[in-house]
Amino acid sequence: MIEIENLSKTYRGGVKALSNLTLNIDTGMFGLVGPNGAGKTTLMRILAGLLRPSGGRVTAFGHDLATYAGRHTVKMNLGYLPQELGLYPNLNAYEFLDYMAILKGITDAGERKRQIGNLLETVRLTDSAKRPLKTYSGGMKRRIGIAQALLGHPRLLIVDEPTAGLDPEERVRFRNLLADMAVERTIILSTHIVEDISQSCNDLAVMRAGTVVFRGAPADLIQRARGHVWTLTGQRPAESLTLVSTLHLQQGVQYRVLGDPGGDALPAEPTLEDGYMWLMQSAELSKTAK
Amino acid sequence: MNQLRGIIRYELLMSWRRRALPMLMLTFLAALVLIGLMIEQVSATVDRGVISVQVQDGVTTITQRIEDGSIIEEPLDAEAASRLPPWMIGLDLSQAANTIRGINVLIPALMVLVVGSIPLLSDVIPLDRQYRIRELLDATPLHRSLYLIGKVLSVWVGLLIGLALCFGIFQSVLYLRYGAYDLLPLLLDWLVFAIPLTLMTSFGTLLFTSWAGTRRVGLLVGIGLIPVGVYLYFVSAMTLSGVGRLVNPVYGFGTMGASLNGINDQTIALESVIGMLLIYAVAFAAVWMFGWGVARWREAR
Ligand SMILES: Nc1ncnc2c1ncn2[C@@H]1O[C@H](COP(=O)(O)OP(=O)(O)O)[C@@H](O)[C@H]1O
Ligand SMILES: [Mg+2]
Repeated sequence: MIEIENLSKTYRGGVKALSNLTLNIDTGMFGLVGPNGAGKTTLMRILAGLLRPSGGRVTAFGHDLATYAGRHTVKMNLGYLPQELGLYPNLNAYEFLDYMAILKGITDAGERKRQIGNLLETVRLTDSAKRPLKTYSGGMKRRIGIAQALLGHPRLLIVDEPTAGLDPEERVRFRNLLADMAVERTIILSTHIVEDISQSCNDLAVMRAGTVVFRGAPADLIQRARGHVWTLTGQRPAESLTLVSTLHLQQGVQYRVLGDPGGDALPAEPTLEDGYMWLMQSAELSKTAK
Repeated sequence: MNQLRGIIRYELLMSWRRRALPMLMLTFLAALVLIGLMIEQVSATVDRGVISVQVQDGVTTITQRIEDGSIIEEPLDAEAASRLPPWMIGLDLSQAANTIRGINVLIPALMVLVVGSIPLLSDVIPLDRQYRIRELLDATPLHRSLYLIGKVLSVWVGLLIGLALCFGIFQSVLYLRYGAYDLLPLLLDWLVFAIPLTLMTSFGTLLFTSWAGTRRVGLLVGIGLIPVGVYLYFVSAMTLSGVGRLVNPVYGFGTMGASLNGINDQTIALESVIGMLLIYAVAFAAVWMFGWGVARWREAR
């Protein structure tokens, strides 16, 4: 259970990355969606105890992150996959995971060996475990990043854009892996790809410009767009409408739009992505109206 | 403790693969050999008494100033030996000359090690940020002091292994080329002069560059630190390199301390050695506070 209260962060130089953000996160899988620059990484780095907020309060499992002891306790139970992942280029995968496990305080060599063996299997890197990490592809590096986050069976798992650089098959596997793990832990996953969370998260927040603009179940977000999603065939939609997708069919080009095109447009069943787009669009409109 | 051992093991492994430490040690060894080849004669000047001892082709020649002020140079025979200062009588001069040769080679070679080590070690901590690995490290419960201690100890262990290997090779070459020498004064010079100086400069380099965010900044800071290292080198050379005097005053010969202070008086400069080591201890504490403060300041941002 993580409680975030009136959290704000202004970077040196005056960039306001978070403003007055309040959010509670329960056990299970929690999705954090938002465009680039919304403040997702900033929020996650604060939760991981890496960054000190400019204001507000965060507690995780009852431990106050403003204190050293609180951060230390949280880090004892934390698995973290940073958005910009760095690895030691001269170590191989096995050595790297072993080193990370030592740093995380898993001092029993047998236990490390067992966990690393399992994790390498999980991320399907057993065969490349003896190759130096500098020879790894982007996707392989990410999978090693995921494996190191899972070391020590952390109660809190913070993964920042974990699926970036993974191929579709790996993405599905990773999603399922997280879903399996979410049973008894808190997993916070950020992404700018809505699809990533539509299947796995039952709770999500949409962030925009440092605040939460939506909080609830994916179904509620979908619900928001109900009645605003239309398909048009043939003529190009007006500029005022948001174009979600374009489909080339035999009978002509089919456009999927948000808004109210009128005419012979047909209502369509909204998806999570439509809900997200509609939300972003409304937020944009209310901002320009002000 | 287990954790620290693991950190040292992996940091050593990485510094081995990064080649910086092996290269430093090879440079040092090369310096020892080159300087050794350049020093053909062992001679030293002390303001009164013995001016030089030369051993060539098994013949020992002594140059000394006698009471009336004139300088005589003669092979070491019974008569010449009777005029030697009391602490030189009974000494195997050929062996002593070989030992002094060893010490004389070590002193300038250590300068090469000190100056070379500073830029080579100045990226050890910045590199973790450059590789963006700090983000992962900071998310582990690892205490920042333990991280710093691990980094420093791994470099120290690497340097100590390297110095031990160099000493082994160096003294075998000395033995094979020139014959027997006196191990203790030579060893003392490594233990009291070479090792503390190397540990101190590497420690300072690691911690003073610890705030840098990239390898390049670390390197620039390291280059700026070289004069400090050179200063430290000279101060230590003047006080610590003559530590062989504790065994016999003759081993002050040719060392910088000897030529500056004169060693005719037999008092052993124990105080200056202890004093210097104390200065080291204080400097260690100060540098540690600096590094720790930087880590705190970094973390708070
Ligand atoms: N270290 C930093 N210094 C200054 N500004 C930053 C820093 N990190 C992020 N920002 C700014 O903060 C805002 C939020 O960034 P971020 O949290 O990375 O968003 P997201 O992860 O949602 O893309 C952006 O405007 C970004 O430019
Ligand atoms: Mg981000």
